[in-house]
Amino acid sequence: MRIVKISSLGCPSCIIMNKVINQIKSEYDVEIEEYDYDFDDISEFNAGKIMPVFIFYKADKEITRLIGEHKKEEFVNIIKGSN
Amino acid sequence: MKKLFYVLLTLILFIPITIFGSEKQMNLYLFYGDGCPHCAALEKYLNNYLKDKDYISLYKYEVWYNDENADKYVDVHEILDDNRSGIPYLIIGNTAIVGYDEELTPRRIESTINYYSNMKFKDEVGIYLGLVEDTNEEIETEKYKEEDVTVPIINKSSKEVPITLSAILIGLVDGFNPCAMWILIFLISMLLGMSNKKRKWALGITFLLSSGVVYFLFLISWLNLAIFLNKLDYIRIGISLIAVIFGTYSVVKFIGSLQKNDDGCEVVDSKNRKRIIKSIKKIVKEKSFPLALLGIVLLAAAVNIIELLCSLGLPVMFSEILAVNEVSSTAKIIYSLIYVFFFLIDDIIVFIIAMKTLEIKVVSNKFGKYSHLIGGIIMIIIGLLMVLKPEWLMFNF
Repeated sequence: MRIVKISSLGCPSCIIMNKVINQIKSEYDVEIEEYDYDFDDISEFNAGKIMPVFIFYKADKEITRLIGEHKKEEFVNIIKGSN
Repeated sequence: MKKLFYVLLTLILFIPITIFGSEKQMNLYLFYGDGCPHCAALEKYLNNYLKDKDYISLYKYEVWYNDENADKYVDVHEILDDNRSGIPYLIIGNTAIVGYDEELTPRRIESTINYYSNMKFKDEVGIYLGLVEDTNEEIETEKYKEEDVTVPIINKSSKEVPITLSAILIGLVDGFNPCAMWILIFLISMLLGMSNKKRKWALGITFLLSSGVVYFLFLISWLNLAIFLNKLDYIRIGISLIAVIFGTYSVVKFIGSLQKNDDGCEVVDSKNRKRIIKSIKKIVKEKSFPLALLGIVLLAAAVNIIELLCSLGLPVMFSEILAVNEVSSTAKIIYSLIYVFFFLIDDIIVFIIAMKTLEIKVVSNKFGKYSHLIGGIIMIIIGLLMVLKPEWLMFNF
């Protein structure tokens, strides 16, 4: 599974979610791609204005996305649900 | 027995005199504005206080809509050599009492009346107004000075506690506004990368201090404007209307966010963000320390102007509370400093923790969301009170 993570500099929610995504990275076989809202080209992702954004891809097809602060369990459910 | 009778008779005779002796005819002159809430409160008090004192006559002069009285108001200031402006303006003897504070003013009026009723004085204001005959006597009378000159902020009048609490509450809610928090967090993340500890602290503290100074200057300047604007009903109603609209928008936005479950950082104005990020990077890498400090001060000023536009409502509302309460200049400064301190407190805490732990501990945006809700409710309440119940803003319930 591939997860695209879009965050912005100085964003408290992004800092909070860093811990969650680092745990997911260490516990599950997922590939995390990080983009910066201000300095990377994120036009293809249609990210909107609320950061961070997590877009879940299965075989290069977007299956769902989480916006803002979310619990680790929500990530785990999506990963397990797609297996 | 006869002697006793004569003694009693003389005593009885003296009684009226002793009563009337101290009740010398006295005039009070009140300059007021039609619709001025403080003037109405003072008039209510005076009408009640003077009910059983027919030896005191109260003469009233409306100055907002009556030009002739407004001119008299200016002349009287010259006669009394008094440059304090403001209404209500109550003259007793040759002393004037400005404004009305529910706790302080009654006591001051009563002690001033007592002072003048027990002495001979030349009622120059009465002579000027044509109500008292000029006997051309030269009588020098000391102006009445309140012995315990109390600086309002220290005096435990009933107003200070609620005003201080509103400074703390509104300052805190205003400070939780995530609008400019990202800049502080980004600056801290850049500072954490620096090896020079002293420089890190200096730049961070300079940023916080400059932010405080800019916000304080805004508060004071808006407050002076608000005091002037408050006199014009349609402007006060306009501000109140905007406040209620702003407040309702915040509450509706909060309710909308409940359904969406996307508590995150709303990224706005991307162009500005890039410019700020680049300037922070440049400042932090700046070799010359004075230049870096200057850069930080300018950055803090710019950031706080953004912050102001983002949360313009709350500081304006707080200024309204101070304006309506007609606090003294000393109190204005002290209350504004309290406001700014609590406005900055979350930034100060985040900064200190980051410097100490070299890790950025942040507050979840879920709190930011609730600060919008509380801020919105405060705006609606104060906005409505400004027009419907201004005396409640003076904490006269």
